[in-house]
Amino acid sequence: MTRRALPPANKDQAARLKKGLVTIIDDDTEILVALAALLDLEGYAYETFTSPLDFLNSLNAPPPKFPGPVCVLSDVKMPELDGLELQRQLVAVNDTPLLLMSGMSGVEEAVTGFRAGALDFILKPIDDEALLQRIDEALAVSGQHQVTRGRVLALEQKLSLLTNREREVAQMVVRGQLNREIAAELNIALRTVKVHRQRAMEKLEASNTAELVRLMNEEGL
Amino acid sequence: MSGTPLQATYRVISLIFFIMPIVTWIALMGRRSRSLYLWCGGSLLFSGGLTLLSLRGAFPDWATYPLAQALAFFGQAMHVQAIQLKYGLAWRLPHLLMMGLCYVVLFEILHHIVGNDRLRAGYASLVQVTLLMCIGWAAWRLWQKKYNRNSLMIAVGTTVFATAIFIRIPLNYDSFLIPLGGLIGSIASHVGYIGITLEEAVRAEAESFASKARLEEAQVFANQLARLERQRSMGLMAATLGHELMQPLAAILTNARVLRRRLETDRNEKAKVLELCDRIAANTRRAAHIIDSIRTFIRPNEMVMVPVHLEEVTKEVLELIKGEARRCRITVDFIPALGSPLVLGDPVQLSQVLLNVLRNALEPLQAATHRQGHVRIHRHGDRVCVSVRDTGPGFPLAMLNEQCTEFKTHKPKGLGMGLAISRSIVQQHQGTLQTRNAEEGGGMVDICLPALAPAGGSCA
Repeated sequence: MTRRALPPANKDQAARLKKGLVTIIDDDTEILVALAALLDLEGYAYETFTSPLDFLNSLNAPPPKFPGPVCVLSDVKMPELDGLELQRQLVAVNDTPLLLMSGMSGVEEAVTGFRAGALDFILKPIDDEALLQRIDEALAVSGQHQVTRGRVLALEQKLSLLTNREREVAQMVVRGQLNREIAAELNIALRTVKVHRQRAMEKLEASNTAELVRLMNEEGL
Repeated sequence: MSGTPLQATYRVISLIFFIMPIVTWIALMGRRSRSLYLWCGGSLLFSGGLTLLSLRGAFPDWATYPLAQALAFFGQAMHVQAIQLKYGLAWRLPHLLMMGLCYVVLFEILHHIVGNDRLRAGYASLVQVTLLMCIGWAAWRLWQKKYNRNSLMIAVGTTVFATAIFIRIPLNYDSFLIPLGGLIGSIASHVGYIGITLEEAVRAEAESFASKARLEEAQVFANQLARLERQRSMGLMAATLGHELMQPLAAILTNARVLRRRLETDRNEKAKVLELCDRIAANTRRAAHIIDSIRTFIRPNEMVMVPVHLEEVTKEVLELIKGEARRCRITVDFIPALGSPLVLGDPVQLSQVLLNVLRNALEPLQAATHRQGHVRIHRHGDRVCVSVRDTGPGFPLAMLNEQCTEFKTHKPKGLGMGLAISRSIVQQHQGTLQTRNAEEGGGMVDICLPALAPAGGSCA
């Protein structure tokens, strides 16, 4: 069962998009409704699932991707798939932060959850202040991920503009080789090396050599 | 009536043996048995025989000699039978008839062919003494077997009478000892006989009271055992039931917090506020219902037999087991019967049986890959059956063969009491509980109870 609840007012919607999307998964409808009411009141975008399988399937479908930060708030005990297994499967698909809720203070569960990469472990009954704080933290992590991912994406785009020779030259610069050494190694004219190096810096929008090195290192090339 | 003094003696004794059985008969009016017929009949025959003896000369010889002797013989023999019947052992009728015939034939030989009157009388007396001693011996045996003190009275009475007759053989004549012995013997043995029968009756009554008391005690114990087992299974389920209770509480808390936030910040649209209040109320009821069903389950109560909707009982139990199934990631489907048939039974004990059977079914499922439980209520002739099937490994063959043995288990943690107690509860409801392995694989338990109303009948 999927319920997408994006309020109609555009202004409100925009605010919600900015604040982030929380996916709530619990097989108990009453809990789901109560949490949804809280998130609705506090101005988050949210979607609810009674089944973790439905949620995983929705990830594979091609929906319009939510532009803002996202996080998942899931119960641990569910009949089809428990929260820990969901965590494992979610990690394989994307880096959405996951918050687990449990009615029992299962130390083992919490440890396993954290090992599998859960961001936090919340005990029921849930304190609303604490929950909202955790959600904000999770959304912040997600936002951070998204920023990093955007930068990497942009850099990749820029790098794809480089010709093979330009990339080769840039890599050698990063390694700390002088123009002269590069020319000798590639068996080309010193002037040509300078041109390649200039073009690479222009394409990557690096104002000096230090920036070029930083950008290339960030990309991990 | 004139005659020899011996004939007068016979007349006195025959009168006593005529009155005493009538007295006995009246005394034991309400407790007629084969033994009583034999005893009273024997006394009357003996009395008749003696009467004929006392009429020698006045009546034809065939009546006063062979017939009188035969009547006396069979009368005494019947007394022996009557007492032997009390401890379940009697002479065979053909043997008895043969002995009587031999006695009379020998008597006639002595009477007509040998013609020695003294020898004949001695022979008859000796046989009478022997028969009386047989009665005495039988009474003695009865005393030893049943410790019935009144049988000693019979033994003493017959011994006195036998002694009186025995003394007469060498002396040939004693008009005083014989009636005295007859009087003592007859009264003692008849009173003794009445005593035996009454004591037997009292004992039987006491025994029936005792067995009734034992039965009631067993019922009390069975109820207590069932209750303890219920408490134990609740104890085992405490963790999951606690979690089950936590769900509505968590929902209540969150709803209450949202409500407060709304009221705090003036975002209190009436519809939203009312909805939150309704949700809090609904979840409170849900929590109360869970607590109530646990309390009903462990409350000590007497067995009550009332019309029960099996469907409702099953739903309640499924509700109790939901948390555990969820924890083990098992799904349980339920197919109720058409017309919601009724059975007569104790709702708590029936739900105990169902809970037991369901928990039994869930346990082996934890190791299975396909985890599914099926619960179905269906009519089977004039019975209503609940069938519980699981997709686990099924029952081991040994369990199926020993299914009636109490306290057997194939689970490492179980006491093996659950199924035995369930079975005895179902049997108290005139039902059956059968374990078997389904053709589709997995274990299967069928609980069948007599249906109360005809199909489709609706009673409250």
